Amino acid sequence: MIQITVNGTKEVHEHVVSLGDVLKTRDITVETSQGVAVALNDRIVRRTEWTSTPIETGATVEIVTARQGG
Amino acid sequence: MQTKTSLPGQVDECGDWLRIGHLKLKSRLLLGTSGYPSPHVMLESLAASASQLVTVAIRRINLADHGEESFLDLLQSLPIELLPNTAGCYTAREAVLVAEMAREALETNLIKLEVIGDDETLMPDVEQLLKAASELIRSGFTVMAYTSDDPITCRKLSDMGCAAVMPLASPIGSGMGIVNPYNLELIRTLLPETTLIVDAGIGTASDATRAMELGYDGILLNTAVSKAKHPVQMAAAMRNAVIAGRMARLAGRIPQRFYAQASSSMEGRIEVTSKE
Repeated sequence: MIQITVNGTKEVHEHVVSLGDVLKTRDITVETSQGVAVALNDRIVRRTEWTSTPIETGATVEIVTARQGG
Repeated sequence: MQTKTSLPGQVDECGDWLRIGHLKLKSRLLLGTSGYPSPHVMLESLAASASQLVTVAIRRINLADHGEESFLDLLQSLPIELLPNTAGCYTAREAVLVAEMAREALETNLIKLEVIGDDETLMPDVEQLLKAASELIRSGFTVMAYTSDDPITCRKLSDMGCAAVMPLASPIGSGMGIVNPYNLELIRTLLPETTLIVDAGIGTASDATRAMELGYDGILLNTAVSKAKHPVQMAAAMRNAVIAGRMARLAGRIPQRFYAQASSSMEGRIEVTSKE
């Protein structure tokens, strides 16, 4: 069991090993992630590396997309 | 006699392109997507503006509602390029990370770089801006840098290789128009080869025209359209204003003078000899 922060909200996860596992709980996969980007601990993680990137307790995940802006 | 297609200043017709990185744009108006009364009005405004380069922000997805994806879908259905920004960033580190996330999300090297000093003025933090611009250029980004109307900073941004240098006309969202035309003119004179875009502070169509008449290559605006009483109409006005300003610049204005000069010749004027 690990405790992580996703988009500013603390979460507890069981059975997650990789960043890809965490994203999958949000239905975000490489195939469904057009327009989405992810950072782990303030570093960008390319989508091709999501499943191979390990995640540990205390990690901070940011998931972003394009929104209205000037 | 010149044909229609060879008329200098036919900015929409004869190859007067705005070039930014790999982009070659007919429209010199860059429009933001924030603050419209509805998505429908935003789309109508984008169409009326004829803008081909449209700004978006990079923000957290709403994990409870994937509605934002439809926003992106809406934009990606249009014949436009997206220009992600780093709005809301206060440090070079934040701005670089947001730019990298924008590149990953939108598959574009374009970035409108903003690094803000505080919430009240939204003025750029020049030290952090220069640092971020340098890092991003090294990482292969096409950097369009929002900055203050300081000629020295603009020159530094240009020298380091920014694809566009974008001094403000006045503070973001203020609608005050061009508060220091002398600085904007000086920047244009000092950097004749640099792509210069006025970004922020445009309030109405004449502000956009004035900036183009000063020799700027384009105008980036958002609030002046999105918060207008009739955004779609204002978008059309801005389109025409930018074209008018560009054409006037290319046409070359007459010199200003203190005294009148009759436009009708006095030669052949009749003489009236009878008294009243």
